[in-house]
Amino acid sequence: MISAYFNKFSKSFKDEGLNILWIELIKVKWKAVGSLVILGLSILAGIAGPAIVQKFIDSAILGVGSNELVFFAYAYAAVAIFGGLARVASTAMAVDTSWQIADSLRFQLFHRFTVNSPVLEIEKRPIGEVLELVEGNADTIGRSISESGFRLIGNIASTIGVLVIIFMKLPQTGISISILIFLSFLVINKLGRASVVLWKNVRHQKADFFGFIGDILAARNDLYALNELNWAVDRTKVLVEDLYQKEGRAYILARAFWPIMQLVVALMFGICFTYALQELQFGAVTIGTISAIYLYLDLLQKPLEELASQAGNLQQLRAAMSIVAKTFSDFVGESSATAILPEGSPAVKFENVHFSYNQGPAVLKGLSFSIKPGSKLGIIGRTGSGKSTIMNLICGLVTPNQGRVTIGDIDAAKISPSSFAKNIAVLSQRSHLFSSSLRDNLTLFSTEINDDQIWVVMAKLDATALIKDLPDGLDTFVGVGGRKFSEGEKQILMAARTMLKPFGLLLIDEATSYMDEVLEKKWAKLIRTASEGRTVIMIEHRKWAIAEADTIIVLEEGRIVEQRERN
Amino acid sequence: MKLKTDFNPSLQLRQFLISEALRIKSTYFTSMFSWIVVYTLPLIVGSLTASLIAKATGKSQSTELWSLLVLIFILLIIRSVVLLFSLSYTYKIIFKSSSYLKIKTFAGLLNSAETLEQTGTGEVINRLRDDTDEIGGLLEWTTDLIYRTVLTIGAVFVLFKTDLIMTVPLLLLLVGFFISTYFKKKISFFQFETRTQQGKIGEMIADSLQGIRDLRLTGSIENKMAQMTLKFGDRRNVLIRQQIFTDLLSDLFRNLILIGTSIVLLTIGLRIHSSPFDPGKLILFLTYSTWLAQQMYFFGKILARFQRGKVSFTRLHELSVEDSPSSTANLKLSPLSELVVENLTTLNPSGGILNEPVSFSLVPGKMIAITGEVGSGKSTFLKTLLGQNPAALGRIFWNGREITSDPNCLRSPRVALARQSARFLRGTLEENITLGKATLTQDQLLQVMKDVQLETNSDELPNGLKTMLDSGAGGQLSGGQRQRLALARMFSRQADIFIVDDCDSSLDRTTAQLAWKAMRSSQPNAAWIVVSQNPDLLASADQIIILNRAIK
Repeated sequence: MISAYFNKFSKSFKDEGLNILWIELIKVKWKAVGSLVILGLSILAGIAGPAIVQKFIDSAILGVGSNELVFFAYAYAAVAIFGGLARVASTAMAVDTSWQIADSLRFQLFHRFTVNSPVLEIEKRPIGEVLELVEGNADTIGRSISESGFRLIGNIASTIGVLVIIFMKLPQTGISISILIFLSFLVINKLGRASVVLWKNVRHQKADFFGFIGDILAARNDLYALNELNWAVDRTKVLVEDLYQKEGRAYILARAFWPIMQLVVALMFGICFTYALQELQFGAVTIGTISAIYLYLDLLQKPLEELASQAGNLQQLRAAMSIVAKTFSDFVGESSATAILPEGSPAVKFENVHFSYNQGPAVLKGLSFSIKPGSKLGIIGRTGSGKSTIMNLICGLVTPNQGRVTIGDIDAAKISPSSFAKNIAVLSQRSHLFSSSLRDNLTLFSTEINDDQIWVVMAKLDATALIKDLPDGLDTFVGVGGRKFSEGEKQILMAARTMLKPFGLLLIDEATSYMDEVLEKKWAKLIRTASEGRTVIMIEHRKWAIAEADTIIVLEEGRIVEQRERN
Repeated sequence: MKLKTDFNPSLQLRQFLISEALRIKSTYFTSMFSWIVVYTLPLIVGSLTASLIAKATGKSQSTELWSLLVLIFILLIIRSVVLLFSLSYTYKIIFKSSSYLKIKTFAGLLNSAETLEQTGTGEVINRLRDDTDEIGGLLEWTTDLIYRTVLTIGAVFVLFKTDLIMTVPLLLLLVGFFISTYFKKKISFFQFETRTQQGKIGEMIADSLQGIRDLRLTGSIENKMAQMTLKFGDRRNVLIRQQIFTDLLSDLFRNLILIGTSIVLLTIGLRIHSSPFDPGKLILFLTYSTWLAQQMYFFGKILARFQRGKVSFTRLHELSVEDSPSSTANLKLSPLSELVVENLTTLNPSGGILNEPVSFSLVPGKMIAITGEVGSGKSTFLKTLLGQNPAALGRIFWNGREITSDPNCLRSPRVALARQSARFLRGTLEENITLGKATLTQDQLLQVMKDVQLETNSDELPNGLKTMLDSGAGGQLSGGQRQRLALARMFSRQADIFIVDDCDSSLDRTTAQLAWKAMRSSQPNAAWIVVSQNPDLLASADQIIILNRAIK
């Protein structure tokens, strides 16, 4: 019930980022309330300490007995210990709560990006940029909430409290102080907005920066051989310098809160004291009041100093949240791909397909062909003739501008991802060796494939030695920090991975480019035996690789120039 | 990961902080000074206000009173201005030192192929981002050290003078130093764990992105996400522990002073009958012990940050073993007359060899082709030849001069390489080829493009040299386009020897033939070392070396 109320409340935020943050906060509401309560207790303990000392001194001057003083001393010790524990507990809880929020957002960001956005879009983005989008923003959110979120509330409360007291002590100055506070609020609000915009730019700039760093790291060996590493470092320096300027502006604007409040304190001091000194002549105020006002103004310093850094954090939080909101709205979860493929080997059909990437030149120009269930099609053509685009279309990664691409009479892009994965195996040029065990890489984290099956497939490729030579066999860790394979060996492993998976349709896109001739022939034979009765589409630029195809299509500039049947 | 040299993190970090403070000394000391002004001004304002109030009591309604008020007002305004100034200097220190570390580490990392292979992009980016910021923040904190130390000594001195009992909190502080070693260890441990987990998560994200096509098309993406969520939880656990110990250490000395204060109160309470109570002394004690507690909080906190800084510094140190790319070493090689390779091979850690020993002699205008089955060590051989495998065996001579042990000799401008599975940067095609080289003219560029059969005014590249490339593998390019682009990048550089690692495997026969013909006739005096399976190329080579799988 409370959640329902909160949810209704959240709709009232104009800022979508705040809405998302509010929803996350509701998920951890009891923890959040708990840490606020403990924070309150630790603040109370901080106030109680001096109060007890005050009592102690008063009592000692009055000459009360030793017992009462000892009692106050014990009470002081108890409050001190309690306060210390409460401080630690409240930060620990704040960290727990805020990082839970951050991790939940991190998961959603990454999930939206990797599951809901088009594969081709993901492949285009530099890894460093995505890391900054997911990790950079989530970390900023976690850090700013844990460092500021909860204490901010305490500090705002004490600032307002002090201001109210001053107002009450010198009500005559009230109007000028109110105007002052109102004006400063306007300025701070304006600066805050400007700073959120700047922080957003900084976050984008950082994403670009780390995108570049990631690109260079990936291209490191190329640059090394071309003797261009120094160029990369120089370019990094330029980017850092640019970031330095931009982030500097955002930082100063965000922290300007403090100097501005300091200015406000100065003006308040001026107003109060000018008024008080004048009134003093007429005896309207006492010296006691004036001293008290000074003490209260002094009391404002500490919460203001803390608020200054928290305000900065808050603006970073808002900038990060608005990027989160943007990402969420860019990659909406709803997908129209829900069709289920029937069991067995499907037919594949291209009907007058026209296609171009982003309004670029036409890659496919009215392509039509079809393959019967269980038969094997080879597509060859010169580089750049549109072969990989055919694969992208069948995988539903792109949709035709005109015409239809169907698998088993269903539009390829409408097939649900899980149905696609269940029935279709893809061996692409972009197959990746994950940082995991060799077994995980061959089974792709599936537990349904046993080691025997792996050995059978490897034997057919005549490549058992590739694994047997390794000291840890299938448990060998591969990828980053693990065992490295040559490009040709990688292709063998990827081929084995594909053949280990049950499929009704097999798609192969230039998967043998780094293989030698002998190996490639073994591969062709394996495809024939393993895919008996199943549909296969092979895309190659070399004719020997598709020797086993029933039909061969020759592609040139997006059109079929030749079609041959095997007899 | 192993550290290659003896590495004492706390000593090295201290040295780094000092050298860094001196490197940016004007920023550093300006910041230090301006913060001292920010924190001393309230003290001055306080005493001025006290005298203002005292004078007002005396009813001396004079210009003196008003000028005092104006003076205080001006001081408060000055504080506001100095604050703005101090904040900008704080930023400068953090950013300058963290970006200095970023660039230094990055440059060092690029120098070591081995480290990069062991670490991975996600992990490296995580370290470059967070560990450098941690140390930048730590350096900024040290600007407070000097004046806080002065304040602390002052407070301790006053406490000593007041009363003997009043020094109890100071004794407790000594006990605190013993306890703090325990917390320090814990913080180091949990910070190390936290950062390790963070690096792993970064790496996992990068790995999933690289394999996104496989994960999506096989429906494994949700499994991978679930695996990642578990990691998030693990990290949160260690992060919270790290935070708790950081807080315990930060608060340790402050809490000890509070406990010391209660002991003092207790003693006074117990002795109230034997010794008379002196409220003045107690108030003085309380004022200074509170002040001391504030300073102690700072020292506890900087101690905790230093522990975290040590972990970060070690992580950065691991990435960057050498100082900066040394790329000028090879400039002294004279133009090629003959390259001789004698029995060159590579040892693997278990004692075997990674490729059969290779010997050849190469003179300008000639081409050596290397072929062999998958796993026979063709790429490994090229890597060894270029000095990138430390465990090399055999000898290399350039014009009769031995260059075997120098990894930097066979590089541009003597040698240019087109790597198998080349990688590109996000930017235009032209930027990717020139990589900042302004010496290449448009005509030269277009000629190179023509030679490698990348037609700039065709459908293939509608925007010609201005075509935008995606990062990494150059997403939208086909395998054949990528290989020709790698060839173009190599061929646009001046070199005596061009080394090509399997850059025609995705080209169709006609394109490959045309490209080889154009490149060889365009630079007839160049020598070539080419790894390929392409029968046409093998037929046109002056010498063919067939590698068999070595016994590993």
